[in-house]
This record gives sequence, C-alpha cells and structure tokens, in this order.
Amino acid sequence: MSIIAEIKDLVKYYQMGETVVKAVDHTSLSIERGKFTAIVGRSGSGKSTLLHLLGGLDRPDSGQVLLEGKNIYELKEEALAQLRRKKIGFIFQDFNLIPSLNVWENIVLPIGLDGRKVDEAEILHILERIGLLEKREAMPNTLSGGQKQRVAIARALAAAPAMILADEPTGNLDSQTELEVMSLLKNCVKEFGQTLVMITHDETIAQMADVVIMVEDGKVVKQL
Amino acid sequence: MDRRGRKKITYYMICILITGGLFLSACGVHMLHLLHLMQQQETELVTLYPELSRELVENAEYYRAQMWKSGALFLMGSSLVLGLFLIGLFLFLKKRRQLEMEDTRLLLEEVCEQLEQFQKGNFKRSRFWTEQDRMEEDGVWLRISELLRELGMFYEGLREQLVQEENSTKALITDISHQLKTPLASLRLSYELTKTENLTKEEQQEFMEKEEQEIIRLELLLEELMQLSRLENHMIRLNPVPAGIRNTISGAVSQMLRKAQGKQIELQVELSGDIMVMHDVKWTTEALINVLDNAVKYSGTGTTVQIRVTRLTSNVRIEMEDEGMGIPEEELYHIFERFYRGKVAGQQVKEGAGVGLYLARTILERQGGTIMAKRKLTQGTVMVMTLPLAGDT
Repeated sequence: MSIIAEIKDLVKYYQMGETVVKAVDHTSLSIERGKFTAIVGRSGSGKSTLLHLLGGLDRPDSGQVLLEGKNIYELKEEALAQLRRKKIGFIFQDFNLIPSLNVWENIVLPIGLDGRKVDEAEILHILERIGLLEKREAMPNTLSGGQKQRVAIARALAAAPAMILADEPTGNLDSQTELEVMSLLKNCVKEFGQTLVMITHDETIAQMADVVIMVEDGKVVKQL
Repeated sequence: MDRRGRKKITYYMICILITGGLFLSACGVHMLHLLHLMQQQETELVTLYPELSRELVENAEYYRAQMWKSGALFLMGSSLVLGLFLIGLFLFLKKRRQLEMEDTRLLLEEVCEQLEQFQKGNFKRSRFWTEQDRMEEDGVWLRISELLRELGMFYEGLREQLVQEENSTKALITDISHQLKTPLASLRLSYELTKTENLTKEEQQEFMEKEEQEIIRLELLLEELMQLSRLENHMIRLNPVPAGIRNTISGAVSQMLRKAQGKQIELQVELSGDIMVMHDVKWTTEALINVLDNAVKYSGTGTTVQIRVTRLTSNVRIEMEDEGMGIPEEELYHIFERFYRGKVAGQQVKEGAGVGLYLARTILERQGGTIMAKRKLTQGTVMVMTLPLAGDT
C-alpha cells in the first residue's frame, strides 16, 4: 500500500524531576494512505507524544518523520507551521473550537489562514453530511459535546489535508455519543478519501480501524 | 515575463536619460549664467577703464573661449559616461533576463522529465521537490512541483490499489481451496475406508453417517464461501432503503430460533416500537444471523443471548450480549478478519470457517454501519453494531 507518513527511529525523552521519561523510544512505523489507523496504548505509553510528533507539533530528540516522503523536521519553524496548516488536520479531545466564532467560521478558519479560497458548496456538503447544516450560525457554547466534536471533524475535513490526526476524539463524550461520533468519523473519512490516525486507549473503539498499532513504553509492540 | 522584463528595461533607461538630461541642462544653465556675469563684468570694467578696453576685451574673450572649451569637454565627458552606463545597464538586465529564462527553461525541463517518468510508470520519483530552495521565491513553481508530486502519488495509489485487489482475489481463491481441502480429505478417507475394509453393517452405517455429516458441512461451507466471494467481488450491490429494523431483527432471530432451542439458549429481544433504518433488509438479516450464530455457537447450554436496540441521534445501535466463552484480548483485533478463528474457539467448535464476522462487518460497513466486540468483565461478549437512521440525511 502507498505510505503517506513514516516515522523512522524516532526518539523523544522528557526530563521529569530526577527521572527521564522515554515518551518515544526508538520507534518506527508507517501510515498507509486512505486507511484508518488506530494507535492503542495505556495512558502514559507515549502515544500522544507520538501523534504530536507525527503532526509536527513538537520536535523529536532524534529520528525522522516523513510526510509524503519529506522529512518535516528539516523545515524551519515557519515552513513547518505552513505545512501543518496545509497537510494535517487535527481533532482533539477537548474540541479546540474558537468560542467567539460560529460553526461556519470555525470550519473555514484554517482554510482562510492558509490563504486558500473557501469552496462554499463543499463546506455545505460536509455540514450536511455531519448533520449540522441548520446549526451553521450557532456559537460553540450552544452546542453539545457531540456536536462540538462534529464541528471539529468538519473543520478537519474541510481543509482537505493529507492526513487527519485525532487525539482521543471521544474522550470527553458519553458512550452513546462516542459511538455516534466514531461512526460518523469513520464513514466521513472513508467517503472523503482521507487518511485518519487516531489514538485511543479504548480497545473497542480501536476495532473500527483498518490498522491497529499497539504502543507500550514509547515503543511499538505490535502492528495488526 | 519577457514583455514585463523589456518594459522594465525601457523604464530604467527613460529614468536615467531624464535624470542625465536634467543634470546636463542644469550645468548648461549654470554656464550660461557664468558667461552672463562675465559679460556684465566686462562691460563694467570697460566703462570704468576705457583706456584699457582693448586688453580687457581680449582678456575676456580668452576666458570665454576657455570656458566654452571646458564646457564642451564636460558635456562630452558626461555624455560618454551616461552612454556607457546605459549600455552597461542594458547588457546587465538583458543578461539577467537570459539567466531567468534559462532558469525557467531548466524548471520546465524538469517538469517534462517528471512527466516522462510518469509516462514510464514511475510515479514515486520526486526529485523535483528537492529543488525547493530555488523555487521558494516563486510560488507558482512550488505549486507546480507539489501538484506533480500529488499527481504522482495519486497514480501510485491507484496502481497499488489495483495490485492489492488482484492479490486479494488470489488470496481469496487460495483461502477457499484451503478451506475446502480439509472436509474433502476427511470425506475421501471415510469413503475409502468404507470401500476397502470388511465392515459390519453397523460400522458401514456409522461411516455413512459420518460421510453425510461431512457432505452437509461442505455444503454449508460452500454456501458461506459463495456469499463471501460474491460480496468480495462486488457482484452484490447492497441497496439500503428506509425500512423498519424490527422486521429485520425478527427475521434473523426466527432463523436462529431452532439452533438456539437445540442448546436451550434463550433469545431475548428488547425493542420498543420500530425504528426506520437505512439498510438492505436481506443482507442485513444475513449479517445479523452471522453475529447471532456466533453468539449461540460459542455459548453454553441454558444461557441467554440478549438483543437490545437503541435509537441514537443519527444511528441505531444494536447490541447482542451473550454469556459465552468471550474473546481473549489478543484476539480482539483479529476476529473480523477473513478466515480468522480464535484459538480456543476453533478447538471447542469444529464447525465454521471464520467467515461469519468478516461477512457481517463487510455488509454493515458497506451501508455506513459499524461493528465492534466489547469484552465483558465477567463471561461473554457484547457485539455492538450501528446503522444510520433513515432520516433527512
């Protein structure tokens, strides 16, 4: 399969008081284009750090992250930020919506920041797909948790990135909403031909993925 | 680009010419003014000292001539400098334009080369990208390079998808033949034993029964495999329509009822009212039967299988909870794979080819649904399925 992103011998240690935390410890893995990959591990297994490094949100101590064959940590800070805006969509546990902007504005913001033109028909299509067409003028504080996460999904999809990274996207939701959001995420990603990398500690949710990568103590222990 | 460059050069030239012209005319005006002053002085001196007028005029004439001479020299010199400067600038700009064009040509050649590589079927090559430094100043080239790369990757993906589909077809054929081999071999063995050995009537009867069982097993297996391969090869088009889920679930349950009763397993269904769900009734029933069959197959006698249906905001959730042997953690991510059978499960229950859950997942996911297995803290498993509601979307 075509590889969209690759991690090569990546290392990231943190100093926590006296001890050194090996968040990512000589880890290599690859992400396939158009697939849904779940990274599974207990809290503290280093899966979040791994995702952040994959998304260019942090800098590794050593090793490489190749996105579409290009080592992203060779780039200067500004170029990296630009690449992140253009190529990577993020979905966070706490939604990260901007409270002073309405749903529509939140969705088109990254596109505007990137200096691209907003394809209104496409955004409307996405909004319809995630079932928030009537709520497009609503402010984030009037939405439920599930709806907020739907907006975040729409925001990630709208920018048409090369890869969407989701960090425990249903961590703040109850189990019913979780099921809803996950099925929406999975189906949308497939429909829009996107690549999704999601980290989770939930073995049930991870079963939805096409590929499951298990992480323990900063290392990949198994890839299924 | 070319026209713009030429315009620029003309603009520079005109600017320099005007500046030079203005400077020279200022010098000229200054000289005329000096001449005028000299003339005045001469006139004044001549009126003051008329006896010296001849010498004075001569003297003034001499200086005037000198002045004209040096003025002319200055004019010639500065014109020369200006001219040389203009020529130099012209040459410099022309050269630079040439270099720029050369650059453009080189980049275009690289685009050509990249396209040629595409034509040869080499989509991965992306040397173009490494030229980024030079292109960083020019957004268009960067975009072209990126678009080419993306195009390459798109085709690479398409090709790999083709290869993958071919491989999966091959794998399917291998898997199917492998699945058929075992029961066939066992049937053959039994048949040969009946044929060659001197058997009593009872023994013969026993072998015959065994053969019949194997034949039934083969038929079931074949049925499963046929469904699988039809589904895999997209010979079946699922046609989800809005339909009540109650009917579908009761259809699946009624087909499983006999098998459940045989093991004294109670099937409980919890569903209040009906829920309209987008689904292909025939195939969804098939998927539910497969999941239910697993629940019954791997549960002990006298247990209960509960089926709960809940309406969520945009999905319906169907849960099937059994009190069976459960799924070990390390098998959780494999159970939906084609022809995967759990270690303990395979030992305990002979029947089955590891197709059921794979089939169920395929059917549900093709309709925008999902399926997951949840391990219970005590014994048993909950299979959680979703399907989209038949709403406005």
